[in-house]
Amino acid sequence: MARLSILIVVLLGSCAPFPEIFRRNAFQIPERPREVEGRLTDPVRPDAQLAALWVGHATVLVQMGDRQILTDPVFVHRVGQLSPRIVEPGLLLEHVPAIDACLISHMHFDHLSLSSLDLLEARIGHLFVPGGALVYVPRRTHAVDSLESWESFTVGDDLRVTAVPVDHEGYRYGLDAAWMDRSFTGYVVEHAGMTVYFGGDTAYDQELFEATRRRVGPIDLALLPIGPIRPRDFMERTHVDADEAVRAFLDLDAKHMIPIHYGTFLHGLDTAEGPLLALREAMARHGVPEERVRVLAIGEQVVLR
Amino acid sequence: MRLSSWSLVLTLAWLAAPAPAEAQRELSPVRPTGVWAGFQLLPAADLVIDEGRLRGGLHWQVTPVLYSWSRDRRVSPWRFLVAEPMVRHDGSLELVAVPGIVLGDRPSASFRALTRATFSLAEHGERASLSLGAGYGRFLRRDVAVVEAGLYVLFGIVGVRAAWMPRPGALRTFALSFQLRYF
Repeated sequence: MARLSILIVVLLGSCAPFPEIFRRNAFQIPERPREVEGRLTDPVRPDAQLAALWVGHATVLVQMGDRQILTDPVFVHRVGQLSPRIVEPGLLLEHVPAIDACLISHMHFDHLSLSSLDLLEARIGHLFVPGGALVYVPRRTHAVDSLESWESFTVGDDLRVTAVPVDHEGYRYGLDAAWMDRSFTGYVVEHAGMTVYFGGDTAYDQELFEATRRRVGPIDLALLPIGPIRPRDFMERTHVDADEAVRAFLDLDAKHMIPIHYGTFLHGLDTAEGPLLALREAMARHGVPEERVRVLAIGEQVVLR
Repeated sequence: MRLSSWSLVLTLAWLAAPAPAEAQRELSPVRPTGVWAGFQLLPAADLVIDEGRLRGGLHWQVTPVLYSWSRDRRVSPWRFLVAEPMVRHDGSLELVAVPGIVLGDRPSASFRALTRATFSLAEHGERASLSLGAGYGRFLRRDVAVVEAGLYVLFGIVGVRAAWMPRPGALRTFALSFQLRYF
């Protein structure tokens, strides 16, 4: 059924190199995703000011003081009914703490997972989506707001969420690209003197990254995608590769970077390790020391402050 | 027949009712495009069973207006012609015009007008949904009532629908349809 589904989508696809990706991925669907050992059962760190746990793909649980932020939550085993998970989520659903701000970067199935939002509904305090994206958010019991670029919303009295521009796509189904042309964003979250940048999914645009740095000031942590990389001539319009992610990190002038958006789903023509190998080469090329780029295993948590 | 007429009248009255005063709704940017129109030309295939006789058929679908009850209150629940998969399959009521052709010894044009409600079964209708509809039409050169039920998967793109189209003195007219409908 999954392969039939992929074939139908391939046939409906209009501008992507889907047949090549289909040939590569349709027959590599794993029986079951790889298990994550040693998953944390209580990810809240009372001793930490700034901590991040990579759940997988673009899902990161960020702790800023006493506040918890969750990015693009995906806890399901298949996104868009088509793309299977190759590694289990790095945090079990029942161990997700109360979330003060949940950030959705755009409408693609690997970022806006409605099933995951349903499962997390009771734990989410406030959900943020890009401008024009409310149409794809079913009615919820918690607060939901859409933010246009540079628009801010303060949760409580001290957790400030700002939408920042990135370069990506806002559609969900393909045909809706004709009108869903602005429903993608990055975010900056500020709390207790700390600033975290979440890039979601983005192509490289030096001007946008530098504008964000100028507007928001020093960034403590940047969550930046490093894949999918291949096929590059198709992906580069919407996705940074590892080298561009490092350049974005330098443009943002962030203290730390955590690479995301790789090694979790069958994605483009990338291998699970490809983006990470490319990242290490890019770091060496740009002279970025390892202590600034914190490569996490899925399920691993790092305390940065 | 009378029931379906009443449902049509009630639906039109509901559609004409003003939106709640508290809602400052965004106008929907959804609009027909050339690509959308191209997909709408793709017919659904029918297997018609009329009083024991088997025929083939084709039909198309047009949605003049759709009301979705599942969207955020700040978003317009109305759609005209074009409806996103989630907007339709997560819970909606729509008017549907169904022109078609019944093949066989003497091919004939058909037309049905329906009120159709669609309900999510899984993942806000993106994974699976169910529709129930009722209406009135002209089928096999005769006036018929129409009662139908459908099941859809894969963002509503793939669907099967069964319709019962009784008419006075002939209650055994059915159509089983297979559709690929994208938006």
